[in-house]
Amino acid sequence: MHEKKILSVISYVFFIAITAVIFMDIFRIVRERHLDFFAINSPTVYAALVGGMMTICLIVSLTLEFKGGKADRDADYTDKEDQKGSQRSLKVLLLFAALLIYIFLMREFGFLLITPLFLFVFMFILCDAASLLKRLLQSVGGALAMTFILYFVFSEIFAVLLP
Amino acid sequence: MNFIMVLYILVGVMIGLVMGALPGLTVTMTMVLVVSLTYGWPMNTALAFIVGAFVGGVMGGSIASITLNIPGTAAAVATGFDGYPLNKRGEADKALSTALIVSLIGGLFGILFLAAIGRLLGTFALKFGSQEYFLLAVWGISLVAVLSKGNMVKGLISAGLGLLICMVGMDPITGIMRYTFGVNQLTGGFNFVAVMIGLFGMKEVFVQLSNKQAFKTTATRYKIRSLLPDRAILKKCWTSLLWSAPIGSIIGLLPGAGGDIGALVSYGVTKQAVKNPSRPFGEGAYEGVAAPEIANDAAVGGALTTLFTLGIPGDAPTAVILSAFYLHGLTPGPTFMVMNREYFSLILIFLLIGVIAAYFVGLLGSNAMLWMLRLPRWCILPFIAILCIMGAYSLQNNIYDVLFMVVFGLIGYVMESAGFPIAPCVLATILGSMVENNIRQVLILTGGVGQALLSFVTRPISIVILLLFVGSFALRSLSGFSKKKNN
Repeated sequence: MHEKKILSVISYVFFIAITAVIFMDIFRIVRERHLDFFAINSPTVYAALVGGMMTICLIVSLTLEFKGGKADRDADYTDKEDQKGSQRSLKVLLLFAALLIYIFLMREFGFLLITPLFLFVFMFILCDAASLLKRLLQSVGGALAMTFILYFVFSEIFAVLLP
Repeated sequence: MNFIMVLYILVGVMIGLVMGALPGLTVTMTMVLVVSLTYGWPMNTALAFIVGAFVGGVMGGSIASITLNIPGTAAAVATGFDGYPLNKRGEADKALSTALIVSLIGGLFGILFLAAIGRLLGTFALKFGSQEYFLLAVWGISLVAVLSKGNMVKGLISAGLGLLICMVGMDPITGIMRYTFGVNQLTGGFNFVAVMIGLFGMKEVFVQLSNKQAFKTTATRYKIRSLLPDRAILKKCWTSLLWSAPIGSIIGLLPGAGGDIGALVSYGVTKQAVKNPSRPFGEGAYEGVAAPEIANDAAVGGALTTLFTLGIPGDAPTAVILSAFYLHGLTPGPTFMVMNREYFSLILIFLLIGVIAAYFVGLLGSNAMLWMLRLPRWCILPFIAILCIMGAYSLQNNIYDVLFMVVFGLIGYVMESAGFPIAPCVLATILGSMVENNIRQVLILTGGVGQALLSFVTRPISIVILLLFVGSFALRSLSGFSKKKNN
């Protein structure tokens, strides 16, 4: 399946889940607090309005997607485009995972220790220098310089307490 | 007002110009990062820095548009229609000099507009009640949803997500916890600046990750003399400036419509109105650079007018400025012009200094900015990622803000890839509490849904806003219909 289609499916699943969560929490509040759902001063009325609007928009949007879906199915997606799309999504997921690990490690070990490592890996992967040695040197130099410049600017000039 | 504040404006202008010029770093993202940095600063200093960055960012977008054909900001798209062809003809310096000087003129016009209309609108807006606030907030959010890229329904879904983000945490009236699922870190809700950094900033890192395009610029060093205003060019363009500046300011005034729409409309009008341009439009007409640029900068005044007088952002960057005001304890809206008149005057002065500083920094710093455009991707993307992380952390020294920021960055990437616009979500996050508090107040005060609906149509100002609301949707539908007919 084409990458755009997959992301479209994921986003619709996400929004449907969000809408379901809106209504689930409404019922939880009404049940736990023994509130009148339709009371004017109820905290659930506004949430119900938002949930209702999301439901209607999702139904309309899915209907339009389904109607336009035939054109998409007939579209000529090449294997190369599919592969590029998969690679793109994989890169994004890997970066997301790396960022989560970085945040966790930064909390444990501090900004100055972990940030150069993270930046080195990130820069090394992105760098397109011809030789391995040049890539290594550029990544190490860039990571160290960026870390210390940013640390100085944020810590000393903006007085932000970093981990 | 002292020399230190002028220095902050100058630094803000430089940062804004550079980041506005760099493709991928939009004015909105610049504002988000700048606002997060100013948390904890004295209010006047923070405002000076933010206003400087805003003005600089708006002006900076045209530099990359002219030299690379990659607009630094959405509002600079129209500038590239004739700016880049001028570059290809070897007249990039003339295009840049025209863009710089008309940006200055447009910025000054916008400030005059803000000073004149702002006070009038502020007096009028004092008569607003809960119904009017609710309608304005909903109009602003829905207009952004309708005018965003992608279809209108997806824009409304995106706005719904923003409204939900606002609801996480304690209910403002009853104190009941909503959508926290027992997670302590969610009891205070999401920090809206962290959400914005994620949706605008980190999202862009994910999007640019796979973009192999290198910024190849053939730009040479320009002599400052060649960037000074050319009298002959200004003589050709001056008539188009007469209508483009008001167009920009009036469109900037509309909630949700900003410099990008103002610039495009102004370009379109100029193309129709000017029968004998310096060159055919699209092939390097000076009028094609001047008209959108002046509209883009004049729209700043319009957008800020709506922001200060009604508390409704005119576009995405002003939505971020609104969050900055909240962060520093100011509440833009009808009472702002009465309770905080001194801040309004101060901001006018900051804008004036900022616009003039942006012109001179642009003039003297164009070569440095062009050098920065040559920075490789492997430098820029990690830099933006770390800036986003540090910006989110600096808000409350809370690592969970960083975590939520990254998660929203991924959500933003998925949404944008699937055609769901981000701007309605961000605007709804900022305006969501205004929407909720006011509609609930209306319901409680009127005592019923029927009575509440009646109150919307029995108040004169409410009726006017409702008509504008319906009118703007009708106009959008009509223009969509005529586009289909032409196709």
